[in-house]
Amino acid sequence: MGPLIPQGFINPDLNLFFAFVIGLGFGYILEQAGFGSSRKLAGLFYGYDFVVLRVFFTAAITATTGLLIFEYLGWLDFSQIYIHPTYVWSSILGGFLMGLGFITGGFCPGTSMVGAVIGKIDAMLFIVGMFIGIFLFGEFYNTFKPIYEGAFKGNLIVSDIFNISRHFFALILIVFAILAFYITQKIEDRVNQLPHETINSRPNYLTPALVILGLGTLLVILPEKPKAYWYEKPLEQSIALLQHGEHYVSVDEAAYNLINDQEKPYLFIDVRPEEEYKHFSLPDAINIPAERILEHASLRLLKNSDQKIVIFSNEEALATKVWLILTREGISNIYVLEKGLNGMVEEIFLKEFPSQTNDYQANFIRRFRTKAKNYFLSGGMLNSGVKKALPAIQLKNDNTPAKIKGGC
Amino acid sequence: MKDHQLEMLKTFAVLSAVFFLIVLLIQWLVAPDYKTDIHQVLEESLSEKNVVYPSEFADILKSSTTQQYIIIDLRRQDEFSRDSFPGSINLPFEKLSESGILKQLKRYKKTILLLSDSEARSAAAFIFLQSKGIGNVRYVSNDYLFVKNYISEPTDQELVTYGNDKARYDFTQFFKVPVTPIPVKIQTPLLEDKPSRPKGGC
Repeated sequence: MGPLIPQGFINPDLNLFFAFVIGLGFGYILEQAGFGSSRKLAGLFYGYDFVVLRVFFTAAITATTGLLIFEYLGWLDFSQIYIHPTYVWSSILGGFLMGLGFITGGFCPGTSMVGAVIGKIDAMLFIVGMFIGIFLFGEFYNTFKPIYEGAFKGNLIVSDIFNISRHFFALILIVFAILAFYITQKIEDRVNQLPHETINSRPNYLTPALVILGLGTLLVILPEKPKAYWYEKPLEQSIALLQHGEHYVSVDEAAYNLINDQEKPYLFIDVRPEEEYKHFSLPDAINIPAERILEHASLRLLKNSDQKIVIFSNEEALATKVWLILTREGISNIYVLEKGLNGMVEEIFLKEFPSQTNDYQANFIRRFRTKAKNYFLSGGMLNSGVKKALPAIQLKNDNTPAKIKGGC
Repeated sequence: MKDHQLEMLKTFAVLSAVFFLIVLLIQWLVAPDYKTDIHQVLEESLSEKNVVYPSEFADILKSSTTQQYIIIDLRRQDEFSRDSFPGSINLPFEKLSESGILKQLKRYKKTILLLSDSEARSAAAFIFLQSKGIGNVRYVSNDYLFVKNYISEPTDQELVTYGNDKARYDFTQFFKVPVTPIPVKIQTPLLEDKPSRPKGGC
């Protein structure tokens, strides 16, 4: 299901709109947390105010727990989440400069914006300095490049390095965060020399802390991910359909769809390997090799189709396998070409019909098949249908899924 | 932070945790009872090692390896009683999803060998059983009649593999379409081959 934009639930064109909405919320939270004031921000370094640590750590553990829960419930595909790549040197150097700038200027880039918006002159000057720095970096980019891109380690995450589960790492992070909150509060009180009454009358945050600790523990003790999600359909229904052949699109229906230019009720999906598709495929057919049918791009295409989907291959078996898997995945409106391409050739081109019978239906089928045969053999599809049909669409290789990018 | 705000926060935290637990419960109840992940089922169903070709099937029938296999014939009962392989058990395809059958199949220690009047059905039954957690299954390529004929009179290799989704004709001779369809790549702005470095920070 998620992430919503790469999975096609939200139009990518709305990206900027959502960035705007989320940005409003982010700015509001930063300002409300007091991050417009450099005194409050720099308090972290002097020990009199740890609000920066509290806000960001809370955000981190909340987001971590939420993402892991969403993943467990099958609402989110972790492989599509962008993981910031690790460049060792630029991280160390950038962190150093960032800390230096933070303590000197009293802001970090994001909070300087908040400060500037609420009218802090030092924040505005900070932004001016930041832009000068950015321009200088851009100007001397080639000089900095070896450091900037040095020691590239890929998209690392801690739990992979230590070979522990994400859930366990999240629990460690939560425990660590709660400990940090407790300890920094003690330091803060000592530095500020608050009277005991103030400390005691302060609201306690035990409940939220316990809730997140509980959720973290739950994630660790939960059994491994469920084998089936709520959107999957029971196969018993599909078996019943198969039994009565109700999943078939007959050769005649398919031929009619190919001949008829105006109505295109069917979307043909070719599940054979790519070489066979390149040699021959029905016009308008889309090639999704069977082993790639569960990839995101494929499922997106199938789920968004308003046409009836017809799976075909040379024979019936491969198409039926794919059909069954897709019905389990919850895609309805999906059919199999009866007897496959081989059967289509046999029925239309090779089958001999007795020329005259009194059976109306047999005559009807004979007439239709003769017409279809002549149409296909004379290259009818070259002249009419192919206008739309010619560029058979092929799914782009989707091994590297689209990622969401984001910084903090 | 003021007291009433804190109360709200606490309520929110507790409510969200309760919400998660309820959703988890509902999802467990709603999700169909599958024992195998869908990706794994797809992989198994496309894997060659789960297909028994007629030649191997003939060997199984002939030799003592029958001991390791149990042949399940998915055709209708009347078809089965008319003609069947010795030692095979009849389980009509439509009875596959009946309750009790799965339990019975799970009890078998031998590898289950599925055979029916079409390869598509055998493969469908294979996928069904795999999904339900019966991993010890294989299915026979081709239909009953073909296998029967093959055993009495083995044919050449090309025919043996015809059930295995091979094209029997050169389709381009019949359908006059452009020989090579022109692949058009669907480009979406989000699909990039290499993730570029995001510019941004906090």
